Amino acid sequence: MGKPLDLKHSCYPATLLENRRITTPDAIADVRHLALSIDPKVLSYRPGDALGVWFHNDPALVEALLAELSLDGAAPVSLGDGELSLRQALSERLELTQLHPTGVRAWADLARADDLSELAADAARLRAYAGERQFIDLVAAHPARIDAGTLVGLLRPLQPRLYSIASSQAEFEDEVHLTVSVVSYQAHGRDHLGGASGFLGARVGDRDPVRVYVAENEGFRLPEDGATPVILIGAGTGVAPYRAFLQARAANGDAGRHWLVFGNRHFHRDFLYQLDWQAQRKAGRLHRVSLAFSRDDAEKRYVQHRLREEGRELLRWLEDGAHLYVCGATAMGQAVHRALLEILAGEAGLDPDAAEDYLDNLRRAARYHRDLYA
Amino acid sequence: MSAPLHENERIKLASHYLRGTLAQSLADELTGALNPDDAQISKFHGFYQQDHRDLRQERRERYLEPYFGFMLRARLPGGVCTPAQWLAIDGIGRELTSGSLRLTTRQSFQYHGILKRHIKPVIQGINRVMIDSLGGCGDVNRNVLCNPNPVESALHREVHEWAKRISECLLPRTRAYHELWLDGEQVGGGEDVEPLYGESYLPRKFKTAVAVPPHNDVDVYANDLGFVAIAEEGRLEGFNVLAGGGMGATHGDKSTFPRLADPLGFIEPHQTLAVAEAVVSTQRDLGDRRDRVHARLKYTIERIGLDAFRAEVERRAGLRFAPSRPVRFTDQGDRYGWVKGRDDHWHLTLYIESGRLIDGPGHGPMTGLREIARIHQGDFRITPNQNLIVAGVPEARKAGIERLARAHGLLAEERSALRRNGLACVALPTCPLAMAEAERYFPDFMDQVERLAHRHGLADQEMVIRMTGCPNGCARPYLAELALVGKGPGHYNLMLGGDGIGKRLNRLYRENLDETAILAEIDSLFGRFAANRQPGERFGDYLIRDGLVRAVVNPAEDYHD
Ligand SMILES: Cc1cc2nc3c(=O)[nH]c(=O)nc-3n(C[C@H](O)[C@H](O)[C@H](O)COP(=O)(O)OP(=O)(O)OC[C@H]3O[C@@H](n4cnc5c(N)ncnc54)[C@H](O)[C@@H]3O)c2cc1C
Ligand SMILES: NC(=O)c1ccc[n+]([C@@H]2O[C@H](COP(=O)([O-])OP(=O)(O)OC[C@H]3O[C@@H](n4cnc5c(N)ncnc54)[C@H](OP(=O)(O)O)[C@@H]3O)[C@@H](O)[C@H]2O)c1
Ligand code: SF4
Repeated sequence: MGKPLDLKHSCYPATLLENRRITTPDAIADVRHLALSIDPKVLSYRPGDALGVWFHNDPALVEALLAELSLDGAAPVSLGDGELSLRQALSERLELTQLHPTGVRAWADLARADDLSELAADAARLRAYAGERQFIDLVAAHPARIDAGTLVGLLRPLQPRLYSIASSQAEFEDEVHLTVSVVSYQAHGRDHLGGASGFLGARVGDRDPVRVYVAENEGFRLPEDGATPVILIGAGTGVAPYRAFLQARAANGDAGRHWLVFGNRHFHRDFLYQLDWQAQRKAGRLHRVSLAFSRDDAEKRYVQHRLREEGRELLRWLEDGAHLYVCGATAMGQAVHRALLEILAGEAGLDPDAAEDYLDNLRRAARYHRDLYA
Repeated sequence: MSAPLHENERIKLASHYLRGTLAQSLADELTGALNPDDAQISKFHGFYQQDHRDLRQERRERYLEPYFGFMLRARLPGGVCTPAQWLAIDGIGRELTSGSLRLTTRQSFQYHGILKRHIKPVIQGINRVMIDSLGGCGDVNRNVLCNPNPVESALHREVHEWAKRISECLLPRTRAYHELWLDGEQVGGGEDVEPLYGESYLPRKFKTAVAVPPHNDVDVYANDLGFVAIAEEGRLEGFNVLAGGGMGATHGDKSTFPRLADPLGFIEPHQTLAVAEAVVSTQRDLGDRRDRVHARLKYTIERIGLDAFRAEVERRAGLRFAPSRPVRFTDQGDRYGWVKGRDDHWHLTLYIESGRLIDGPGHGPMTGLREIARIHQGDFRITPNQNLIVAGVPEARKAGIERLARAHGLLAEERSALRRNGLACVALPTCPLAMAEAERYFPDFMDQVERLAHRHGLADQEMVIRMTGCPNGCARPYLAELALVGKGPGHYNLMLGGDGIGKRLNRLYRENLDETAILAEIDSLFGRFAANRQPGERFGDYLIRDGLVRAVVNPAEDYHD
């Protein structure tokens, strides 16, 4: 991932044009297509880039935390660059929805919670514990009295989140599209919303400014040569950058072939951007499509299963110089990697080391691109 | 004058005996639909592409294509199946379709909401119990109706055999069905022959029914080809043959009309198949292939005249029709409850609202039938009124079956005479032609009608009431005493004046009414009927006698007056 120089100050106030759910009401994930309005003279991006998004925490979560700790939201606190109210600090500056292991350890001491201290001594257990909780879950389970200053000292600064850009400026010059899966789950007796995805999906109003920046992603670029075939592998929201890729190649009139390998849960519920892919095929730009819907049938089918089934064809594309792209959840990316190794062993007869070398070489030749996230 | 052939004719001709590009359409993962041409060809294989119309707009906004699903209609001549077949039909419905079953007005069953990738397993599943869907829809002979008369057991068996033979005789011969669905061997390009249908099949759908008087539950006059069994002392002597019936009409197009079949004459049983083939081949050659609206046999007969048509059929079949034998029909509905057959077995006609078998909370007709099928040893017969007969029950098993039927709400007892004779087509949300609700709305509508009947002391009046979502007429609305034919959302044409035995067409009484206006009309007509009816007089007959409705004599000339 390229490093934007100064996140805070290069930030651009985009406005929300559109926020529409693109999965059906009965789908498991609430996935939103978001369109933000930008000034192309100020903000420019390329296919493959992600958008960094700053967000405000959920006011309901802030109030619940204040109540849990019996703290006054109006209490002044200082955060390095000046004074502000505790409420504002919790809402705009501090991380509430991701719990860091150090925060758990510190809280165990404050609350004199022995069982928590014991757990915190085991790094793996601590990571797992933090991974499925928000700060408020910790506080509610192990009450302690602290003052406002201690609280802001304990919490880490709010970090922006990244979202793959799902549009091409060649087609939407003054817009940027995102495909956001709203993190929402029930745990520890309350409803939880992801910080950024909850903000984007549920709280930003029309015309509200959203502070964003472009996170360049040099490792995830279309081939220089528009005639090079590409294999686009993604599950869930991992398909977002491919929408941008196809838009860009369409705008360029590129002749390269495209093979989309996409997985999600249900064909009828969460086939993200189905109409876009159909239109691309109709226009002659989508030459092969392999789909894996994991919950339509008794047996799970994932993208890696489809790749294995079509291993021979995959090798043919690679022989033709195709670039491979993999985007989406890390576990999927790893499973795809293993499937590729198996295909190289099974179909091309490579031994395990040679198969690894083959993929390494692809990577070094910038023909194997991965953009994975947890 | 020569207009070009209809687009569907090109599709049929190019399909290589019904193959089209169905194999590619099925393999295409990007869509749940078929290529448009294949969506026409699929009908001949028994399935229709449909989509959930209520969801179209919403799905488009989510960048999702319409919710495509397929309706598959089996071929089940005379509606007869065994309990083992029923269990298989039921299991496939629950596993591979929307989870429900619908009994049709053509004595078959339909699955809805089949996903494209499940079409093949569904067809293979029914094939395992010797049921196919070839010609379930499409421009060929459809499922052959046959009066499921359980009382005249021996006669029914004999007549039903003829229904099956007619169905087999009029079945397409293409190997495409086997190749595509049953992994049958591919037959080289030119080897297929379709001796009866040819490469273009028929100009339009073709419906055949076999009636056993005095019951006209098959609405034999509504069919392109009708056989009326003539029996003497329970022995089949032959058939009166009828031709040229059909329900479909188009709103606002006065050149279209429903029509009753005309008598061709009497034949002996051994002449049956020759006549069936001759009628079909005459329609194949003389039917209108330019204009699908006028492509049914009824318009061919109107065009060339009945005498010329009869002569042509006689020439092709190599026989002369004898004069029709006199027949008398008494009803077009079902006889609910238990009846005892001549062979001393019992037969139970169950009530299935709109033929819809779906388990709801506290109501389980599908489960009930499954449980009955597990213990039943006779057969099942789907009736042309979308009900089901549990046929051939020995005295000793009667109580057990009745207990199950009662427990699952399958008995007609609690329903009014009005409701028991009702019929509604599928319409919204799945039927692509529907202009208004039918099946989903019919129960509510009947509540209102029952209320009015009660007010006028007509609660026990037998009456044939039907509703369809469009003028295509799948639930044979033009033969009802009172019918609503969908005109637009919430609006219907009110049709009145059938005779309750399926021998008189009704007539448009008021156009494009909403529910309030319809109920106001019915309220006033029921009032007049209650006050003026003669003993035993039916509602439809009263309307004609009192001059409220003028009888249709020759629809080609007086239907739109
Ligand atoms: C390069 C890149 C591209 C990305 N592109 C996209 C994209 O296109 N679309 C997209 O939607 N996301 C994308 N992401 C992920 C995105 O950045 C965020 O990580 C994601 O939206 C969650 O952020 P959040 O603030 O909503 O949730 P957070 O507030 O960060 O909460 C997430 C945390 O909640 C906890 N949690 C989540 N689910 C559960 C559960 N069921 N039970 C218990 N605990 C749980 C976990 O600890 C998790 O870490 C991308 C990430 C990267 C790095
Ligand atoms: N799970 C959530 O509720 C949720 C909500 C919002 C965001 N997120 C996160 O946001 C990102 C995208 O979310 P998303 O819902 O669009 O996609 P996702 O959670 O990655 O799921 C997309 C598809 O990938 C399948 N999958 C699961 N494990 C896999 C594996 N090991 N290999 C290959 N495929 C696998 C899923 O199947 P099955 O689910 O059937 O196994 C599903 O069909 C991910 O990082 C995800 O963790 C998750
Ligand atoms: S009558 Fe019309 S609406 Fe009803 S099922 Fe037939 S075609 Fe559809």
